[in-house]
Amino acid sequence: MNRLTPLFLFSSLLLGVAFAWANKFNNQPLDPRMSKYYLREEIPMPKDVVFEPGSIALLPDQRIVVGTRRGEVWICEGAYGEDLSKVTWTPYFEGLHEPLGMYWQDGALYYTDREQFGRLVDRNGDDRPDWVETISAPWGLTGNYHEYAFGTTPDPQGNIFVTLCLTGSFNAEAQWRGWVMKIAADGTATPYASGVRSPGGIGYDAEGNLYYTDNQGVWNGTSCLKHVVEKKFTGCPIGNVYYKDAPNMGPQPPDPVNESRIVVERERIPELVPPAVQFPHGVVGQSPTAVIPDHTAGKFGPFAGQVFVGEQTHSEVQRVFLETVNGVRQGAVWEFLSGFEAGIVPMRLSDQGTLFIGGTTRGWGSRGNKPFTFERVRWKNIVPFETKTMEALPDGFRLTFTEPVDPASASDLTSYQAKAWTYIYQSKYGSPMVDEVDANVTSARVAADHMSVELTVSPLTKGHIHHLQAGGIKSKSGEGLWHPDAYYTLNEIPNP
Amino acid sequence: MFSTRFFLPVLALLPICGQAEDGPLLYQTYCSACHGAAGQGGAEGAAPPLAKSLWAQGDPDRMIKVVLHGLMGEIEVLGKEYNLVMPPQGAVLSDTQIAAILTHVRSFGNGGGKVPVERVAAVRAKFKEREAYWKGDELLKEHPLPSPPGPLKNLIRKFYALPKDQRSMPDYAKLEENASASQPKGLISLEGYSEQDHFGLVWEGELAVKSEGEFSFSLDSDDTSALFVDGDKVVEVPGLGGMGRTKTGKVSLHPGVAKIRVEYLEFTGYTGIAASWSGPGVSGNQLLSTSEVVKKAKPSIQMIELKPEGARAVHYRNFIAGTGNRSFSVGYPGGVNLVFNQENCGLELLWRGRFFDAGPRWNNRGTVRSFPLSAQVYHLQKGSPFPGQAFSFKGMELDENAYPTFHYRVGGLTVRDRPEPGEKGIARTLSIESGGASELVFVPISQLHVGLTLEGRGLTAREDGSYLLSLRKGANTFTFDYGIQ
Repeated sequence: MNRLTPLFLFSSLLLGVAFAWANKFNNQPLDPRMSKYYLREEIPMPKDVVFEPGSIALLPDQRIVVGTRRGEVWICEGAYGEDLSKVTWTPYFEGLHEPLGMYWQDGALYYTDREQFGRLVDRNGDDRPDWVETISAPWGLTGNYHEYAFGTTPDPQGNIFVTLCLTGSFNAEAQWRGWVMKIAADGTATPYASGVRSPGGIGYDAEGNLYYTDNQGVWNGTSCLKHVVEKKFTGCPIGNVYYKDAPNMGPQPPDPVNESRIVVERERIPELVPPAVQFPHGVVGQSPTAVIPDHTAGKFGPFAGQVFVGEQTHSEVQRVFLETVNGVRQGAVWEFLSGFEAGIVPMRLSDQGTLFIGGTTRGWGSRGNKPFTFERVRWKNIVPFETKTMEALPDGFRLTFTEPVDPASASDLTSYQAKAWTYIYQSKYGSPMVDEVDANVTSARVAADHMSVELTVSPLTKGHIHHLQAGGIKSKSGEGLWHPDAYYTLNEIPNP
Repeated sequence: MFSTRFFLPVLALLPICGQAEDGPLLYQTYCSACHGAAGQGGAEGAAPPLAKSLWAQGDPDRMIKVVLHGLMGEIEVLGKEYNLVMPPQGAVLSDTQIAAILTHVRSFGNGGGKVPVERVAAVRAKFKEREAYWKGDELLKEHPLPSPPGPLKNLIRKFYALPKDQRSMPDYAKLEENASASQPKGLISLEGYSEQDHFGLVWEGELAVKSEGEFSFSLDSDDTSALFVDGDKVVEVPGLGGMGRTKTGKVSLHPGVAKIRVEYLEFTGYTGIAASWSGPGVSGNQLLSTSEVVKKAKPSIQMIELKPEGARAVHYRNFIAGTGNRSFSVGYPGGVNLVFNQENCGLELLWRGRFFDAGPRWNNRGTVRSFPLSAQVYHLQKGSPFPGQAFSFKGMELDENAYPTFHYRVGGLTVRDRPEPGEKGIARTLSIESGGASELVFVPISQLHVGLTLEGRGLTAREDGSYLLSLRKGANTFTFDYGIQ
């Protein structure tokens, strides 16, 4: 701590000035480098409509469906085109209940809203649905505003997964609140995993593993990306009263001990799956939302196979790398895209590499200060100098880069800073950063192709977030990393 | 060489014993997204402003409690109502961090200076076991909002007990007051008398006039009032009546001190007085009276009225008062409306007139149930319309005008249930496909209502109000006419 103190004081002064400047007109910190690599554009929305996107579905013919928080469904044409002034909108339906999951399959629009998983079908071909079907409505509702339901696209077997927010912050007064449900194509619903608190989105990684984002609160020290594993428990015990109705789940796991640590409770509760990646509250956003994989094979930049996570409060998109260590999913998060006009809720990435995002600020503040927005982001075919992956090693981490590094800077130990901490696992709302560990980067070995570096980091602390700041690394052309801060959640340390 | 710039946010967030916390940075991290970078409040009224807010002024314990344990429910900030949830931060932030943040909030024009860390520690210790969020009224009871001094200097209030037949303003100069007291708050107020009948009040004070020009004085009262400037009557609210009769008068004034006199008469019933002035050198329309009698500013829940357009019906699906949580509402052109509850496959609510106010659901987080825009809503269903039968909702068919036909299964039968608006009300037709001869008991209304009639076409109601539907093999239809007065 001490060796950093003078720098800390000096630089926080600089930071304060930077913030004051950035915040003269709104809350958005500026990222001057983003526009070099990515083009963010606002898509004109239907005129005189309170739009508030809650869900997006991409159609095969480059039409886009947007479901709004007011329950309207609109179809957009022209959102892929160069000239966005040509975008047109057609009203499709009104009367869903805050849909937060949508996809298009075989000519029907499937949706998950607060009340049900269903579909809208246009059987007579007049471009308006004439059949509104309830496929499954297995969960309970009390009418509390917190009772949101987020639904996925189908998995290869045709199942979808719905993650159900608790009733309010602290209770599960209606059945299956705090659970992930699996719904088969025929509507059969099965409890799939427990432990949900307040989700902001649900989706898959590129390999098809299921995740949802859970927001900081009770039994959740900081917001995180949680891996959903069948018959397992993701951490918040409030909904566990419904194990009595879930014989397929096996016996109810013991409740976690209050004011413990996840790494400790994992030993006691075999069903507990630790958050795959924790997002330090306030540092990497504070309200994560949509989860989408980059399946574009490079059309959206050099991050194919990784996961992007939306962020409501900070109006940004985070980038996540995931791996399996000792059978547990874990990985790192970096800040990625920022400056959106409202709080991001839904996202979809087209195969052609256009990212569509919807934003709404109503009820929860965001840095982007418009009430709602619909935007797209395209890659400009310029590779940003970034840490592409961060893999755990038995004694450190391996970083790979999007461009060759300057080996002198990448092998210089003063290019790196490392620190680790965790959060209290408790029934109170959130947690401070605790159990802080000063880690040291003791060796840095640059690969022959200059595309990766292996760091020895000492000590590694199981269960801690490891913050690696690689501010000193330069690319071959002398550029620093676009985002030098990585946060790796070390649930497991690889065996040597 | 390395840049620590990017490392700093994290350092600032780690609790560091004995080290000064960076209030502006902590505020930026934890608070600004909702409350605005300069405490101006969130977009869309998402969170209340902290700048120049009485909530952030005076006794710091009020704000310390909000940050430690959270705040839930209705509050009023700067004349606007909010009904939101502030999540508790006591488990996230240390005492020094909270003190630093609140000290920064004090700098948003709230005065009061530094919030000491010891104060935060004391409140935390005192409410160590508390897990519940604070409620606004609970906080204000213990920590009332400070009242800023009003603009009237040397203000004196005289009280006159008046005879019971005193219906017009007396000549107070000829009466002797029963009581007299100085008013250090500098605002006209009925405080202490607002519950009484048959009395008069006279206020005398001074206003500082900074610039030459024409000034407007507005006055409203329950019952009678008059305002004098330098001895001349500028505006009056004559006669007996309630608030809402605001009158405005104008007067030219020179820089210096203007003598203000306000006379008031209360006969019986409600009481109230509101006065304000505006003009050169006065910021906006400045209140001369306490604000509790002034009508509240626009509430944050704006009405959002839903109406059918043209020949198309309007749909609304949300949490609605008086019905289940999976209900579909339809407003037909012509002004007949219904709510179909898909959890019991029943026609739950029926009414004539305006459809819905979606405002309670579509403002802020939507914490309040939506309600039909009619004083007369018929609640039809209590219990199942198909007693003793298992049922499941399947979906609905929409015609070209978006009129729904509800599909559900009852006791192994498929029912298509189509309400149609007509002159008298709603004609509801059940079409039931049956594999053979059978019977089905149907309860179209489970409670009788004045103003609502029901008739089953060609069917006779049984004593308990239910109908026995005799089914033949094949298609069967039954129509029920709901008449709404």
